Amino acid sequence: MTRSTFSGFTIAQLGMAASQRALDVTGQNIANINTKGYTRQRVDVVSLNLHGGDKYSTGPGSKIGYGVEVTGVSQIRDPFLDVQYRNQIAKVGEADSRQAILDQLADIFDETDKDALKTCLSDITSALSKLSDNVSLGDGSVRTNFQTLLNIIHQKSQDLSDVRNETIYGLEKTDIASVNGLLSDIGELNDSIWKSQVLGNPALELKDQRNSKLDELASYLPISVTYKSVNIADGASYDYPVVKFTGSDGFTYNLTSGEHGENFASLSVERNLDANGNEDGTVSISLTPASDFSSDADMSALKTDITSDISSGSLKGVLDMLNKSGQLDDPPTDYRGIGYYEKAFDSFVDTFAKLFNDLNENSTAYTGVSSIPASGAATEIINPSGSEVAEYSIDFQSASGNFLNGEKIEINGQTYTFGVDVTLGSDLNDSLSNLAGELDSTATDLSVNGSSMPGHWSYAGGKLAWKSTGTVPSGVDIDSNSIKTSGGAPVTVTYTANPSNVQNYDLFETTDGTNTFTANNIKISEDWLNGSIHLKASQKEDAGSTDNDNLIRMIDALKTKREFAYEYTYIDSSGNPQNGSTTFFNGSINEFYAGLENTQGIDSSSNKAILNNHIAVVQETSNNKDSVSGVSLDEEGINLMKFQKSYTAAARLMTTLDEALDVLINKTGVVGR
Amino acid sequence: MRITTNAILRDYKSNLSQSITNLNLSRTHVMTNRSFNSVAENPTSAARASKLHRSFYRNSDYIDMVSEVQSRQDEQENALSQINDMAKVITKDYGLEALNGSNRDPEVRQSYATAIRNMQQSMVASLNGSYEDTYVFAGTDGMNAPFVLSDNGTLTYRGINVDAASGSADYTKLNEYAQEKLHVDIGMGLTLDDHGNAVSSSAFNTSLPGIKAAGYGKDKDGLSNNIVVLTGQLADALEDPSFDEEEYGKLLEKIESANSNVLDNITQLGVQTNFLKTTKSRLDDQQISLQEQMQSVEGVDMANAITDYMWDQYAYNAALKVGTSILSPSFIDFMN
Repeated sequence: MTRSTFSGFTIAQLGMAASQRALDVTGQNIANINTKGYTRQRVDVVSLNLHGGDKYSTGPGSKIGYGVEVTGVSQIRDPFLDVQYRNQIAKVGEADSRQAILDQLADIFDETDKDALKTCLSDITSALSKLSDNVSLGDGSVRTNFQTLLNIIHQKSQDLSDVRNETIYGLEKTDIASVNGLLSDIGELNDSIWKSQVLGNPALELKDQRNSKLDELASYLPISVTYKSVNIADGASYDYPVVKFTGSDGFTYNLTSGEHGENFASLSVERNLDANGNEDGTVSISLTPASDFSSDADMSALKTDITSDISSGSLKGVLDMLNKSGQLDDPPTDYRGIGYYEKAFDSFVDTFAKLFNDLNENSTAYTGVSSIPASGAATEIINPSGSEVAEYSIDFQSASGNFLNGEKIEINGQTYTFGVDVTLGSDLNDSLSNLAGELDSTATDLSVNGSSMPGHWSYAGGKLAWKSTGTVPSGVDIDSNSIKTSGGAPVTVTYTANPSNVQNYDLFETTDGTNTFTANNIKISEDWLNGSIHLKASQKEDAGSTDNDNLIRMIDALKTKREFAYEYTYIDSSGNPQNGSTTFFNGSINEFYAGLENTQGIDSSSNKAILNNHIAVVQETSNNKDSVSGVSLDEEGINLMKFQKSYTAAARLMTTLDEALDVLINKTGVVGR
Repeated sequence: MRITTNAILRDYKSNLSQSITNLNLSRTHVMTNRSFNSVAENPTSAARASKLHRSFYRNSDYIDMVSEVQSRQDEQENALSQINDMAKVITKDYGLEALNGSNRDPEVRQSYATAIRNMQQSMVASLNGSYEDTYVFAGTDGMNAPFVLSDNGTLTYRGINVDAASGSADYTKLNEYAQEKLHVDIGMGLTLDDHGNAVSSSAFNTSLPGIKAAGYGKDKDGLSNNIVVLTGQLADALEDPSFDEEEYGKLLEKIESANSNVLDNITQLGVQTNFLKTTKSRLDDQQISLQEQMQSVEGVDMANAITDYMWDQYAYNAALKVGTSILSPSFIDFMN
């Protein structure tokens, strides 16, 4: 076979060009060693040999190639490691976002190196104990300690609600915004890469960017990435990633879609409302998936609530913290979020406050009159002589009890105070007789059919009655409209109990008037603060001034084991609100708080261990990824030498050929010169 | 596996950060002298520590309470001893001297009577003795002086004549008052009965109603059981112009028997004081033991802590040293 005279020069030139390209790529690798997400590149070369088999002759087997050809620059990447990394980073994200909130909860409940609620409870026991020894000290010191306790409770309650609000704010403004930013970046990168590749540019750096965005997205929610091929032209195709989110319910949603992956999904977050329309502190996340329609198509109809379907990632971590209360949920859930601590703490406050209110209750039963009639009946009475008199009678037969000192009754527009205007009788009949006597001397006149008539009050047979002294014309009907007070108003009976006889001895009350105490609404009752009630040292009826049986009961109550239950209302299947309760702790008041603190500590320490595990695995996976895709300075250095040598060698080939031709051209055929 | 420059850097960074975290932790242990500084660091120990702290606070309360009760008992014992002393003087000295032939003159008897009346007043003052503004013999009504001696010689306890005839309503009330208890918790395992009252064996009774010591009611001969009333009657007898020696003798005898009741109560107080002393020393021991337990749960052994700290410091220094040597060199450093 004949060889073209200058063919060797092309081989040398191609060799030099290939080495030069390889040096350039080496330079690019070294330059990008610290670029985040950079994948090491390599020059793809093939040996150039265009010889086919000869059709008509078989030459000697000396078909030498034409040199080297650079076919392209490619990335070295293992897609399996990407999958592994993204699965793992989702777990890190979940544990990490939980840890951030658990650390904040630890600031609230952990009292390892500070004196707060636990110390305060002990101080209360001390104060009660001192008071039990000497009741004459007064309850000021106990009240001060309770006040301190309530301040600490309020502080913790405020801190808890701050944690919740900040977490919701962070989710709305940071997490969801970041996820949406990443999704839109990925969509745009897909578009840019497609445009570059149409023009023949491999767009390796853009692909690196897209991969790091995907890695970042995977830390928020679990994604899967598959590649879909689209034909750009005959023989040229473009692979774009289809990013999907698969919910724990098995449904799959596209996060990128469209002709070449340019459309992207978006997430949104809403604060949930309770039955009364107030924010209940939980949130929902909805996903509007990407579609194959043009990017300006309205996809809002496809918006789906995926709150309970996110199986890992930092979004799940935050959602668990906000939406789950573990065993205090109805039905119970699998994670103790902020809600657990809020509810448990409220239940602690409720149990505590009710316990002390019960112990301090007013044990003296109220003995005032009940079932007092509001008005009486008017009638006419025919005397034996045939004349008629008017009678107004108030029936007390169904009333029971007796009037108490300071109680007031209003009859005939006038108010009579027992113990002041009217002497208290030994029983109700006695008191009413006294009242009749008093009425008889002060309110003798009533108006009968419009004209004032004198009369007499008397009490007999359970009836307090006024009878006119003068007669009324016979045949005139007397009904309740006929007899009025001298002022013309209907006769009514109004009975007012003396407030001090029905004194409420509650030590604590709620700020919002509800019956359930929470860490937020508990306060020391006004009456205790202004001194109108006191800690009851004794519940005995004839207690001496320093009797202390009730204080002993209070001391005992603080250390006695009791059940703590969380009470809640729910809507049953027929739509009616019902009360439910979950018992979740059995122990003393003191133990309860220590238990809650410890639960928090255990939650935090186990989550930290999980987080560290996941981080170690992610680090291992990163190293594995790096071992495939990362730049090694050793290798690049060796490459520098290798390609420099190959460049020199190709140049040397050029010189050699040049010298060889020199012989042929200049030194051949010199015979006869 | 292919090791890349960035993988080495990443591992180095995470190891260095682990190393400085360890160093920080062991430094905190040394500085705070605590083996853990948050519940999450060691939940088990934290739970034990909570319990120990609670017991410790409670125990301190008990110790305070015992001291307080001791002081009150001392006051009761002093007062009763004074009464006892006076009763002795009356029965042994005055009483017998008054029977002495030469002392039977009305004037001499009058002077004895005056002296005895003064002692009667002192007895009432002793029985109304107080500790920290509560009356120590008032049972459960410590804020009001329990005994009132009126000019006609009637002595009332919380408004009831102590000479109430047995079977009368007043006597029943006095009987009730004499039994009154005032329990305090001194760490005997306070338990409540079904009515919500402390079980006697689980709490300490600090109440010593004055009438229990000084006596109340009348005996079968119609003589008062109360030492104060009897003292008054003794003075009456001396003042009586027709001095009845027999009645006088009976009164003296009765005073002696009433005094032996006072003495019984003093002995009883002595027994209780002993009990309180033992309790106090038990509580003190427990306090020390609790402190030791708290130290063993929360504290650190300084030698260990400092060794750990030194070791972590050493490890951190070594990591830094390694860093300077692994970070710079690669093949490139050796190329010509």
